[in-house]
Amino acid sequence: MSEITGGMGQAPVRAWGEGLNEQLCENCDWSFLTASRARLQVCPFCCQDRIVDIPDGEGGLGLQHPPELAAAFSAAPASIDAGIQTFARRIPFAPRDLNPQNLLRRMQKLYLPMWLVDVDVSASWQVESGFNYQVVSHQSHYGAGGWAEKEVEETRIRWEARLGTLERRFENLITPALEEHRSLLRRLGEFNLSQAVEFQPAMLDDAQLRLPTRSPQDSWPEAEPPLQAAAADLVRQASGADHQRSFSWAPVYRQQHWTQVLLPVYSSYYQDDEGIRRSVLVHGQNGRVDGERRASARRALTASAVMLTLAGLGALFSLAILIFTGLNSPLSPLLGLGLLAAFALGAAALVPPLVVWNFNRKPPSG
Amino acid sequence: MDEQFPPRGYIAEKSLVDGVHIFKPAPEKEEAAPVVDFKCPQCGAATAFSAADGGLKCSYCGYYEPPAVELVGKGAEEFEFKVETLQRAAHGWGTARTDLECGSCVAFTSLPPDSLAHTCPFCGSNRVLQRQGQPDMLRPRFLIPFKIDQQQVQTILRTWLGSSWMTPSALRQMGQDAEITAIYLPFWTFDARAHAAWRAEVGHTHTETYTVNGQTRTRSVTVWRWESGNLDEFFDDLLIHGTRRISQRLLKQVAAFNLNALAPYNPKFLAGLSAQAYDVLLESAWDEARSTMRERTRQLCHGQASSSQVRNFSMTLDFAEESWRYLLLPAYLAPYRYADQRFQVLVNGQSGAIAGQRPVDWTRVWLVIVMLLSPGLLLSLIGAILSLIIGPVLAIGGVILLIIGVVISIVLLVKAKGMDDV
Repeated sequence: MSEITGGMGQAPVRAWGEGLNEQLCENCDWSFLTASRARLQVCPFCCQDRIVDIPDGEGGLGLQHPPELAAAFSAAPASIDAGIQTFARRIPFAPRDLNPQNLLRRMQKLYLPMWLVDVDVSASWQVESGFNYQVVSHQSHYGAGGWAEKEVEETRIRWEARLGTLERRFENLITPALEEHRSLLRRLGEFNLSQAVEFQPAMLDDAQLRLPTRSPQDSWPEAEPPLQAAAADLVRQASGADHQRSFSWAPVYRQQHWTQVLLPVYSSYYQDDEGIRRSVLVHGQNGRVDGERRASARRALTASAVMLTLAGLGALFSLAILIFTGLNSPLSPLLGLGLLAAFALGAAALVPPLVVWNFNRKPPSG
Repeated sequence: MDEQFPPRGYIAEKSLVDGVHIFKPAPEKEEAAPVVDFKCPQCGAATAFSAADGGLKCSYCGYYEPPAVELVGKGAEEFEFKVETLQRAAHGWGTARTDLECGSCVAFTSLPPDSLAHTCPFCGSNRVLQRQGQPDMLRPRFLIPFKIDQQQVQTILRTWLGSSWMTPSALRQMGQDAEITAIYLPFWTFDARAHAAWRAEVGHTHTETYTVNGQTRTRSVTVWRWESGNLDEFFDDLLIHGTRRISQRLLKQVAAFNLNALAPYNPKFLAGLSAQAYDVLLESAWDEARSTMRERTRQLCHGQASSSQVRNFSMTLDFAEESWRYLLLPAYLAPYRYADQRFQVLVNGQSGAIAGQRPVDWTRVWLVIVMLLSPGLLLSLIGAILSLIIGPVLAIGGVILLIIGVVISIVLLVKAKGMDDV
């Protein structure tokens, strides 16, 4: 196990892995690193309570790669509140359990891992560079007064071949450490790494660390496309071109340096009508909320019952007065309208359950 | 990395980023066209381009050297109207030529280096001054070599001078005395695609019958309805003259050049010949070309309408894919004098087409006109006199003959007037 220092010139605070346990959720197969004194009871991802300890030595990437950087939990409570409100508003007839107080009470801090790689690249490349140039063209109009013409300048592109070599170091290329990396970022959005700080083991005292499922070597192929794009852009800047196409290169990579960086996420859950826990994730920097969306059939039926009751009472009241006053009374049209409104309200009572049924047909994930 | 990097034909370019080295294709070296003396390697005499042989020839010892070029035809490179093109500085001429300005008609020509004095090919004047060439000339990149030699031109000229009954009989002899000058004339060619959208009211006339006071009558009724259309027309190699020193009327009559014979510029084609630099700037020539293209497009749009009755016609026209070339095309100038007057003749140096001024023998012309009018006049008079006896038939016939005679006379007069127009 490697050591984590507390900073330059300071004595080691804690050895990496000391006081930490590896735990596994048997429901979703997510594995975590948690502080020994704060063992997980509920999975931060699927929110089920099927957590087991992973015996020492049986972990995967577990304790092999200590993190080096971590982005801080910086989302303001107000923005988290607002995110939860927005999330709930998008669910018709949201379950009663889905409210900011419950979610905040159940919130756990969770770190998601990601790799950053620095690499030296030597490459030969070739490309077609496009340079803008202006040409003079004309537009004419013919009408009663004869021809009227105006000069216009158009921008065209001149394509020229370029080739050359590249000797550069590329830093902080992002590669995934989790199989679910892309779907998680799609749900929560990008993270700002400019404020990342040196990782301290104490950060795990009140947070769990999702363990990487992809090793640096396994995720390296995913770094190559953005690396090529970065190289192509560099070449474009070097040649002063305005456009570029058909970039190809033959790179040789050296001195790859991997850094594990942790992304801050809050995890929570709410319970639906059947008592099933539905997971909610909150972006730890901007408070954006995403999670499983389930509408409450119970609330919808309650609303329908209220509407039907009102409709029934309205209909009875209208009929009663109509019978007493007779069809020829001046109130008849009004009472007729009342009956119609009652029937309409009764028909509308079908809407809430239908809406909930249609909403819940979709896959539960956000 | 390949040890032979970069490949041949590439040169280094300045990089704006550290760690990135860039190479670009080496530009084609434009031959700086060093000053060339066209001297015969056998006898040392001056060689000149021979239209009959298509190469350099020594008139003293018969030495012949073909030019090492291939025809490029209509695939000759064209240039876009880049902003900087219109302001680009000139390229000079490729050989040690003498640029001369005529003191009489101010024509500007470039002459072979061994020309000490010469007759101005435009006005026949013998007064020529030595001046420097204008600095804003573009260097021509393509030309059509001469295909007709001077002997052929003389034959064409002689035949042409004697081909009209309106000209004096002695004119045919002038063909032998005319000073024929081979000269390359400047032209511009323009390509463009015109996208047009038009809208107009188009009238369709039909006849209908109607009844007024029990009488059935017919009338023409025109129904107007709006029509619109689109047109996409490509103008290929529209030829515009590059000089105003020569009669535009004559130029138009002989300027049917076959551009498939275009060859890359080579000083050898100009050896011993004259070449006229452009004095119609690119912008002016392009203005004229666009005017022609606009009118043709407008006529084509008119043609799309379902009837020839059109009103409230309007259209928009957008030019695209515009390009241009600067060419030198071969011509012969053959000014001659007759009765103390100067006349211009222009011959196409590729096809031999000829156009020019010819003096008119007005005596002969008026005699013919009198002969044309006389029968009709006579018959009309006689018919008028005899109309009381035999009726107006003769008079009418005479009038018809007279009208025919007048029409033919007008045509002859117009033709005769045009013969000495420039």
